[in-house]
Amino acid sequence: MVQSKWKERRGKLPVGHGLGVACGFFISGSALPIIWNEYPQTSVHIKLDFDGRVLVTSGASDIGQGSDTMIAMVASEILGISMEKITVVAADTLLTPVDLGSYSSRVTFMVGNAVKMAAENLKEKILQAVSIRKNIEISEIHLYQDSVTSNDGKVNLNWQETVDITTAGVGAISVTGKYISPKLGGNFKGSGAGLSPSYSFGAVIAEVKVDNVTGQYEVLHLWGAHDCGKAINPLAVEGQLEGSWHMGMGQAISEGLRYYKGLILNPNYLDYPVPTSLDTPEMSTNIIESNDPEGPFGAKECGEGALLPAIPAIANAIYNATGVRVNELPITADKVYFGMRNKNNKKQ
Amino acid sequence: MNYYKPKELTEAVSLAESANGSGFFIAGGTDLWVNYLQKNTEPTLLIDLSEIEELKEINISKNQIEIGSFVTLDELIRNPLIAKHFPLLATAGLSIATPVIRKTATIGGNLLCENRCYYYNQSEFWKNAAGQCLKNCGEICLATGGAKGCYSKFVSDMAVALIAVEGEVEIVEKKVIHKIPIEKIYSGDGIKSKNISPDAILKKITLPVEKYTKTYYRKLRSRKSVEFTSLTVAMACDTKNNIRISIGGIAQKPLLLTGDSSTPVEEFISSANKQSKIIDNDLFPRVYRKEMMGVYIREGMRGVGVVG
Repeated sequence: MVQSKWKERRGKLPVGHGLGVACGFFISGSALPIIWNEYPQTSVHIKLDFDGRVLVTSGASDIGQGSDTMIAMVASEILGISMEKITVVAADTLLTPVDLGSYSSRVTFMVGNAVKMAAENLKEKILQAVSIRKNIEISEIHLYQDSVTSNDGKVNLNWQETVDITTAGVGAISVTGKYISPKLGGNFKGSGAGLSPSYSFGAVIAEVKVDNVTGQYEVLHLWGAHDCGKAINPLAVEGQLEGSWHMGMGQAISEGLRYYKGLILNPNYLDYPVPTSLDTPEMSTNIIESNDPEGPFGAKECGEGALLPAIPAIANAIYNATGVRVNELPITADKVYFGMRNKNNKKQ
Repeated sequence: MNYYKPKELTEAVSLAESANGSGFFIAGGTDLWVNYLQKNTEPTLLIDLSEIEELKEINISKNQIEIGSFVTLDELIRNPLIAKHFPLLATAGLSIATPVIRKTATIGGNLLCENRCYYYNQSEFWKNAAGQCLKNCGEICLATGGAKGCYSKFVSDMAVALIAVEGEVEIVEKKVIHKIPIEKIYSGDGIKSKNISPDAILKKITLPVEKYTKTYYRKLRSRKSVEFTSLTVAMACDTKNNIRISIGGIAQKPLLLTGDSSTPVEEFISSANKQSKIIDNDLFPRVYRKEMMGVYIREGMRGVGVVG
């Protein structure tokens, strides 16, 4: 609101310009799997080998949102070791445990929690081994910055020494972690729909410039803010937010499927117009951090939830500019043009 | 399929004649290749023009400028002679395809690119499911549901711009060189959209220099790049106030309207409406494209200094 100078500018914009705002919220993964089963919603395996390599395997598909990096960051944070020591193998169905998929904005929340649990299990095994070998209480030692140290300073092991002690006599250490959402909702039919262990919240302000003669318009700027809980990887969150607003804008301004006798008429990226970089405006990105009690380190989703308010914000901006309410997506120039004409005809 | 890469124009012509109409010249290939993959064209012989140097030149001589047909759209946009004498062509070139495609696509290829339609430019799989349209040897036009004719859309933006500034083409056909106005190479038939034979080569485009000083160009599309036209209007006014309006994307061939500064705008618009054959085979609905044709003509008249 402040960045867009909403208070000063709204209502005082030049002819054809409009400002619109909208809010949205979204689930961080569905509390119940789409196909009902009693397995965990995701499992993650971690293996520590003699040479100090930590292998994390997860079924999560990195579709560009950065889940592989998130997995490494969460494991690194819990184990207190640098990310170079961690190798992530993801989405290889021969090698990795099952994950339900990259949908429903669930991966950071659910896979992140499972990685956290697996890493905590490994950490416990490491500290136990050191505790026995060095004859010291577990509560007195810490795994931090690639080494194990004790409060009294007598224990100071580097990572390789720690690994040697942990794997001595047992070989590689394998642990697992999982995520199952807490029981939510009532005991009646349909009570599971739309339930999530956590919800994200976002808002977008859009400025548009409409050509009053043709109905063609341009999105000039998007200002947005999104509550993603703890931003585990702020750079990736920013990328997710901008990507989401861009995709939301596409849905608002140009993307739409057409059909001919049940066949898609525009099954290609020429005829299904996703906005290009030329069509994409400047974006002002704001990450609002909060601390979610159920998320890994307090994190929530920042994908689909961010997308939602971009669409009504643009529709509202067009309404603000022209007085025309378009209730069907995408809001193409012809709908604005005929909307303006109908409005003028009614006036006369 | 046979593939040849001749170094001389005469060799290219002889090769094409030997193929009896099933040979295709390939320049950038950005249009031909997609149609080939969609099984819209099935050439038995491809004649690559990329090594014929005389097709790649831009020259100014006497009162005209000559543009070789193998000049890429990117070279055209960046050429200082074009920027100086024909900013209209640079504007039109910039509105075509994407920067990457423009490095491959040629001006000649753009002039001769095939007409388009939602129901024709689809994969083989799609067309087998939907049924073949008239343009693809079917019995019915899927876009209109009738069988009267094919309404495939003329989409060359470069042609629209060139026609407005009285462009002509030199065509080598049966070893004879013809020079004809660009609008004459289009037949108006949606199925066979060109008047020239498949073994004719478009050699170069010629334009009068310093004749059309005031020009206008506008293309209707739903995003700023990667789009074929939904409607393109180009307009040019010469020093004697003669006006040429060229319109693409609204019929099987480009429309050319001529008049002068005393011609009422309404006359141009009603003439355009009568000659256009807009159907719903585009991202924008038929009525909107028709309305915009009038809006753009009106805007263009003001753009070239005629108050409409």
